[in-house]
Order: sequence, then structure tokens, then C-alpha cells
Amino acid sequence: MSELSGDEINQIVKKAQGGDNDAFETLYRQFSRPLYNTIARIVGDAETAEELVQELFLKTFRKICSFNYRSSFYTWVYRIAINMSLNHLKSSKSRRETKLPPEAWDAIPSGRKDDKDNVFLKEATLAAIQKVPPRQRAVLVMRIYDDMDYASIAGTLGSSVGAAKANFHFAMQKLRNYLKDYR
Amino acid sequence: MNCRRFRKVLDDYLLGSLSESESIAIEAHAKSCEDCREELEAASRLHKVLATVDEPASTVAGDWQAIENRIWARLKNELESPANEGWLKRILDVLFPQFAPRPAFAFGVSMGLVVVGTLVLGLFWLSTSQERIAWDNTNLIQFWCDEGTLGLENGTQIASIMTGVERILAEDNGYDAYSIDTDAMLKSIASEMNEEGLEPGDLEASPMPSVLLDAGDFIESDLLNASRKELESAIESVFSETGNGA
Repeated sequence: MSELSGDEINQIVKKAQGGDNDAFETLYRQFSRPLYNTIARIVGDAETAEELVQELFLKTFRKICSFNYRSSFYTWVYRIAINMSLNHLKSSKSRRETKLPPEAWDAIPSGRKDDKDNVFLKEATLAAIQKVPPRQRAVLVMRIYDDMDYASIAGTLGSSVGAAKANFHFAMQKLRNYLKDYR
Repeated sequence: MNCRRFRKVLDDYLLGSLSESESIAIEAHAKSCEDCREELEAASRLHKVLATVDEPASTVAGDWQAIENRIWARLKNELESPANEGWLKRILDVLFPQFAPRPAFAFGVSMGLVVVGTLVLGLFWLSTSQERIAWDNTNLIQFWCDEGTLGLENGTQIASIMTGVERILAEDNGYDAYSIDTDAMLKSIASEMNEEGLEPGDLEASPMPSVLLDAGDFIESDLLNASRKELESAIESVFSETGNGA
């Protein structure tokens, strides 16, 4: 789907607020992929991410009349997605139920130096990300993969900029520690 | 630049978000310090690996298009179901099925609910004003910490200053001094740290003691109910007593 401008998106949101299902579909097709990626990186499981994306858009569409255009539509939905992912992790304790391959877990902390550049290292890295505490992990995903600055991260989490910086710092420290055998 | 500062901003340097002068300082420090140079190389390798981790949508079983369509099919089904008519109409339809086709009645009930809701919210707002002041003060102290206004290094120092400020406020207002429940505060901090996945060393190392300030369960404190002016004045008094320059 082609990129839409902010004004075009707002026009579509207005139609969606009027109950236009085609407008809902356009918004869904426009934003579901990046939101899926963010959610999947935080919850660490494709199946859960799919369920959460469905729940996210259902909630968004049901509440779309409360969107007041003070931020971009994507920023609004993104904030809901992050909170939903964190709430999911909090309620299900799924940090311990990650469905990543067992061999990826085995890689930590005793990594194999001869596997540095292969798929195994990627899996170990993914597993290491899932070992980082949820809030720090969410900040890491926002900073590294969604390219957000600290002020935007703080705005999304409703925290201070200092707390966002501290969470990122601790997340990266933990990652380095988990993957230290690959040094 | 010292080693502590170097390690703190290392990742921001690798993400290209530092100023030019800070980047130059990082590079100069890496040249002169072997440990930090090794740290930089390791961090650089980690960032490269993180950059190569594929986006989940391109690695899930089945192609993304199929997943996107599958989710949309379920969403469409939900959107077209009667459940999408709105919670008020659904409640009214259940409570008063005989009036369902009469929008004027529905409007009247809605306005009644709005009036009652406003009254309830107003009473709730009044009853929680103390907590609101407490929340404002917590944010204010966090802001001062972030800005470095207090010139403090770690969570323990902040805790000590907060206790001092609490004592001054209590004395000024004729309350019993030390009404902060230290045990409750420490338990609250421990619980907050546990929630955040932090270890005791993290608090000591952190110049941003958000965990301390987020641990707002010790809200019995006068500190959290003081006005901003009282708070500033009390902090100044603590600094003049301890010689800790702000």
C-alpha cells in the first residue's frame, strides 16, 4: 500500500469516525504491519502478536470517535499497542512462556564463538531480547527498531525522559551481559 | 569524558544521536582507554547483530499478506456484528427493549447518565485532590532529578534528601517529624524495582532514580502534599543544612 500523507490519513480517520468500514480497512492495511512488528518484538511470539493486533484494531475502531487529532493517528494507535503489549506480559507472565526455539535459550549464556555470523546468533539475540524485563524491552524496541528519540518514548510510556534513558541503558547492559560469550 | 559517562552514552553514540562535540569526545576517550575501546567494539558488534534481526512480519509462518487478510476477516466480522452499535444502545436495548426504536427516549436517558456521571466524577476529583498534589510533586522532583537541578548522583542520595525535606515540611507545618514510613518506602522501592526487573546495583548506578519516585506507595508523606513553594523552600533548607550544593 502506498504511503499516505498526514492530511490524507486524517480524512480517512474522519470517515472511519462516521462508521465507514472501508476507511477502517484502509487504516488497518496502512498500519498493521509496523504495529505487528513492534508487538511481536515485545511479546516475542508470532501467535500472540497476531491476537494482539486484532484486539488492538478492534479497540481502536470502537474508540475511534475519541481520537482528537492532537497527535498523529499512528502515534495514538502505537501508544495503545505498547500499553497493550506490556499489559499482556504483565497479566500472562509470558516472559517465561516464550515460544522461541529451545536451542536459542540454550545459547544463553554459553554462546559458541564459531557461530558468530550465522542464524544461530540471531536466534540467541532474539532470545536475549526476551530475557530483558518487559518495560526495558519495550524501550529497547522503540529506540532500536522504531528509531524513536527519548522524548517520544517517554510520551508513549507516560514516563519522564530520564526514566526512558535509564530503561534503555539497563536494557542494553543486560543484552551485552547475556551475549557476552559472543564477544 | 570519563569511563562512566562513556559507557552511559555509548549506545546513543552508535545510534548516531549524540551531538558532534560529544561524538568527538567519545572517539577521543576510546583512543586513550583500552577497556572502553573494547567496550565500544563489543557494543558495535551487538548493534550490528541487532540490525540484522529480521522484522517479525517477514519471518512468521505463512506470508504476511495471508496473516494480514486473516486478521482483517476477523475484524470485519466483529465490526459488522450488532455489538458494534455502541454500548449505550446495547444497554438500553437490553434494559428497555420496548423503547429501542425511540431515539428521543434514548437521548433523555443518555443526558441523565451524563449529569449523574459528571456529579460522580466531580466528587471523585475532589476526594482525590490530595493524591493529585502528591502526583504533581513526584513529577516535579523527578524533573529536578532529570535536569540535574539537585546535583545528586544516585537513588540513595535522593532518598536521603527526600527524608530531610519531609522532616522540614513536618516541622514547618507542626506535624510529627519523620511521618514517612521508611519500611513501607523501602518495600515499595523493592517492589517497584522487582517489577522493572532491576537489581539493587541498578539503583545505585542510576542517575535517574525513576524507580524510587515511581514507588509512590509511601504517600502518607507531608512532602507529597506540600505546595511547590513549600517544597522548594524545604529543599533549599536541606541543602543549606547538609552543604549539598544545588
